Amino acid sequence: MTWLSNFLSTSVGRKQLMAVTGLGMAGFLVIHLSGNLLLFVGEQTFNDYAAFLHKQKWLPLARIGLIAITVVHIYLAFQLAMQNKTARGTEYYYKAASDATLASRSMIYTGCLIFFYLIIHLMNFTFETVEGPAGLYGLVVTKLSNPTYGLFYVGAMVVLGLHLVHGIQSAFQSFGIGHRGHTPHLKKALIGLAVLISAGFALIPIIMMITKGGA
Amino acid sequence: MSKGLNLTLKVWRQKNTLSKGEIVDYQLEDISRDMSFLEMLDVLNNRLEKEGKEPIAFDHDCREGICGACSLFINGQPHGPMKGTTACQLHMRSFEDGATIVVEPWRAKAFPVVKDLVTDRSAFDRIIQAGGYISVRTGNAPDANAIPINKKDSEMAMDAAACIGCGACVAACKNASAMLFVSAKFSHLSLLPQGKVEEKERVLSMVDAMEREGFGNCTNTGACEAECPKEISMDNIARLNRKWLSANSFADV
Repeated sequence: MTWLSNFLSTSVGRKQLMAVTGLGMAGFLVIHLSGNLLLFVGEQTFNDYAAFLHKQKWLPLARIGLIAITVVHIYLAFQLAMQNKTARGTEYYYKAASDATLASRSMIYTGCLIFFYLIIHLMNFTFETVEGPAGLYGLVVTKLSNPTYGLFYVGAMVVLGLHLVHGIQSAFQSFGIGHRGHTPHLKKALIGLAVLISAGFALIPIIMMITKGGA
Repeated sequence: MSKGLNLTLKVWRQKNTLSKGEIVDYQLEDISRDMSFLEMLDVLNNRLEKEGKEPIAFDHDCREGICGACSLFINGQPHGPMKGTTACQLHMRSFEDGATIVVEPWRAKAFPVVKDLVTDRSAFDRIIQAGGYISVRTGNAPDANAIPINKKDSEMAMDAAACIGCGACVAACKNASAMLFVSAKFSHLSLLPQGKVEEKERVLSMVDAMEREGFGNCTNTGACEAECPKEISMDNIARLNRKWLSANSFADV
């Protein structure tokens, strides 16, 4: 079983675990976003979808799985970040502007911010009691059309976008998929996907603040 | 004839591995723009010797940009501001008159400072010893072209083989990761039929050796590729990742 422990003991293996858990979460985001976009179809459709989802027997299992990969991702992130800090030893005297992108250098920070956002987000919706005739739809509209919440959510999606722009294409690099010779546009397409996901989410509070702001 | 450059040099001075180093300032006058960076240091060292002071220790050998000995971190960049250039091929015309230039050694736990700007890079040698070779019978050289090799593969192998093992990738990486070096040394063998034979053992043992030396983890930031004096591509890192995954996960059948 050394092959299994190698995934935890080598930097290449750990990076691939980071990649697979990260992509798992990104996959969840795609599903989550497509569900959310039903908000624009109408109150009835969105509430029906939410009720349908909560009826599913596999939902608790999916939630446990999602929590598990999140925990592994966060644990590895801190382990890698701490090892990387000590690998430098003495810091450089001259602090130069880096050649690396802002997104790639700030993964641990954007990651932490996303985690705090996640707690607030779960308290706002998942653990909030749904009341009134408009159901979950009503709760979402009330919260997100309020500029305090709305702008906070837009800001959070900018941070998420920064994390995904590096994360998704980096995950493919960690698996060794993607080669400038064979698939020259893969990286660009994956960055595009990351922007699309975060922009899609950010669009929801933006539209709600504009259309339902005064209501 | 234009007058030479007046420069302020801030150089890392450190007596030995155990002592604490510090940045020391030097004023230089009338430095020719046609000098290489190393020749400029030679001028300073001649002066220091005349004054009875200890000259600055720095690694250098061929001074032609092919040996990989020079290893100066100049103004926050390995080998200085010129892209795709080693410090020995960097010329003083790249600097403005009156400039302040900070010169430091590579910074990585796996590369301890020996003296001043000289670091111990034998960690790289140990990674090569772990698998960066092919096992062949010695004796007469085989016939040229006896083994047909795809033009594209031979080009990619040659590009990877351009790595001079200077360690600029480690110095540039925010994580002090050696992945660009290891992947280049793995790839140039792995792309050729002679290297394919031991590929699986090679990828596992070279990655293991890299771990033992205490380099950081690659987070695909791309700083290594940007600073590499031989412009080694990160595609090599992708190849190493892919080959490691398959060598580690699938049994021989």
